Amino acid sequence: MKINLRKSLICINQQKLIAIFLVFMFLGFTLAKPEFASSYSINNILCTMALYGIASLGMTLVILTGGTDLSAGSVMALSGVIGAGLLGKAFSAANPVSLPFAATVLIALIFSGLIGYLNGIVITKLKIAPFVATLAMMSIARGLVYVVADSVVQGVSGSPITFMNDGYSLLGQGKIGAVPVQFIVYVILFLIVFVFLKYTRTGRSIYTVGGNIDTAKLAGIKTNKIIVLTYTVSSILVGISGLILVGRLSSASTVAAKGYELDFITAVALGGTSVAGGRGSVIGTLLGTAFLAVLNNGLDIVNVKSFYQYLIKGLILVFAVCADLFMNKRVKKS
Amino acid sequence: MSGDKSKNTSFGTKILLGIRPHLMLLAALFLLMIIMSFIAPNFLTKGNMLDIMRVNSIKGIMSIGMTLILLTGGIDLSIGATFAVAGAVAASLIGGGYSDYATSNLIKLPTLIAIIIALMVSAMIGMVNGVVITKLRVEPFIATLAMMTFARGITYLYTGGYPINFKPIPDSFAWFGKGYFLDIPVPALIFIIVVLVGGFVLKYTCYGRSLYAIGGNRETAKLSGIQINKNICRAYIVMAVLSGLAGIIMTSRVASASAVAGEGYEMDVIASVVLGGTSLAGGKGTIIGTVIGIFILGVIENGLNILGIPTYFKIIIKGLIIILALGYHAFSHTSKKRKVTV
Repeated sequence: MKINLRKSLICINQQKLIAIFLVFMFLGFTLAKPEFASSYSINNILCTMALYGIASLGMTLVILTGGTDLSAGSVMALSGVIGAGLLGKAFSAANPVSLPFAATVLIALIFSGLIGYLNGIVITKLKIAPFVATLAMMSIARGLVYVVADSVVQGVSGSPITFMNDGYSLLGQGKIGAVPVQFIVYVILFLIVFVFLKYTRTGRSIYTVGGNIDTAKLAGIKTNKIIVLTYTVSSILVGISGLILVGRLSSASTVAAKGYELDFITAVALGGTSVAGGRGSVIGTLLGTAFLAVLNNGLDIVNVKSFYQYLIKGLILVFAVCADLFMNKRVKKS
Repeated sequence: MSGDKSKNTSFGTKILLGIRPHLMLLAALFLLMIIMSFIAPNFLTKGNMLDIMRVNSIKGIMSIGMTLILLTGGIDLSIGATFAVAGAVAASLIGGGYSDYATSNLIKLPTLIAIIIALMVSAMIGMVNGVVITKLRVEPFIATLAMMTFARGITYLYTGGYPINFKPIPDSFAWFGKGYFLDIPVPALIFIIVVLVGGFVLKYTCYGRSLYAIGGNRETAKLSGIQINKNICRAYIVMAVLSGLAGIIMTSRVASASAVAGEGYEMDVIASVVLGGTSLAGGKGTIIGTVIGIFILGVIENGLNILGIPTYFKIIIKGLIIILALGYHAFSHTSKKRKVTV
């Protein structure tokens, strides 16, 4: 008992490390620029966290199964253009369809889920490596974004869908008290995914599948079903992020969220989830997301040139990941 | 792979045996070309064929490097950024290169030296990738993802975000991207050389074979005395130098280097290598397969361009074809396996 306690104290894992980093970063930025701790800035951080965090929750599930989802950025954009397009209130729009807010959200999420479902089917039935399958889907979904946007907005191909809608404004810009609505959505979804992963049979089997798929099969887990489910749920979560992005901008762009998938993967990896699968948690992802949000916002506030931001982010990513390895090595040696 | 490998097989049979595992892909490529030639009459012209060669040689050169990386079970997402770094360094050092950002115009060197320096910078990026992956034991995906951001940042800092253009481009440099040697475009020629060297190294040298061993089973490779870290490092260096080379050729071809060059190339390159039958899990793949993969995607792209299909349909079709081709591949393999086991 005593030894266990000591061990757990010494063993600084990735999550604790990121948490410590987070505190120091927060203090550092506040010291450098007191505005960093202002309510406006905090609000910004919470919004960024929600936007990236909800999609990263999905990415966590996928990575836990040992897969990856490169189509996330495209699905975000697709969900956005479908949601905004179905409103039928886009400026310079010519479409006869005009649905209420709730219906557009529902349909956008169904389509997002469908893309995820297809990802899952391609990966499990056609046995294509997730990296390539979702890479292809990234291409396909991005193409569909243009198809949808062009059918909604007349004019130059690839124009954004700009609109006004109270529902989307509430989702992307609204506040309850002092807390942004999107952050509340994030917290709720986080709790659901957390409980799902930790306490449900399906959630636990995601870990088993990622840890060793053959063992999982022998243990009677329907691995294909689990994988398909994971990709579907993940894409729905990514779709929600896409709708929040649209709500924030009151505009759905065809080039929205390009390359975001790598940010989501970064957030998940920072949180100590193994890219090989089977090991990790959404708490880690929460910390990883917060880390990225604070870093991005902080670097902007202390006025670091965007060129240097690239360097700093690259360095921090490697540093954060290998610091964990060094710590663990030392613990093992002692 | 091939069943019998007696010592006295002739060179021709050896080539046939090498191609045999890729027959389906090759057939798909020819079928595509036949279909295209029916739909677009000017597809099968000499000019268009040379154009396909030239366009695809740039990503082709990078795919040869990526084949080595995937064989070791790794991945390199930083190649698009390395591509941009090398292009910018070369363009700024060569006489005639001009940017609105003053520091890019400071030093001018002879073309060959400038190119060598650009390649050395790329090699350094590759070396850092290799060291981070082998010594710090960061997963290749994350390590090269970080390098992708980092190297892109270096390019922005170096160029100040301004493009580097040529006023005018020296003939010695223009030759790399636009020149012809015996009627063959120079980029295509470089690609052919890279393919031949790559194929030879993978098949007949100790180093090449060790990459297969490392990707197949790292523990076994270690126990049989292969220096894993050193060999993996070398693969990442080769990869980076090849992407640098591709970046320099591209810079010469468009007579301009930009900080955003090569963005997303890593994905195209990985897709074509995997399409050519190289496994992402490592240990399985060939250069011939990669070349076929590159040309399948290249022919599709070219055909769709000739037909004037809008970009967004092009990317949908490309994605579908990757899924179909790989799905078929995997499907035929599993059905073979079943036959053996039952």
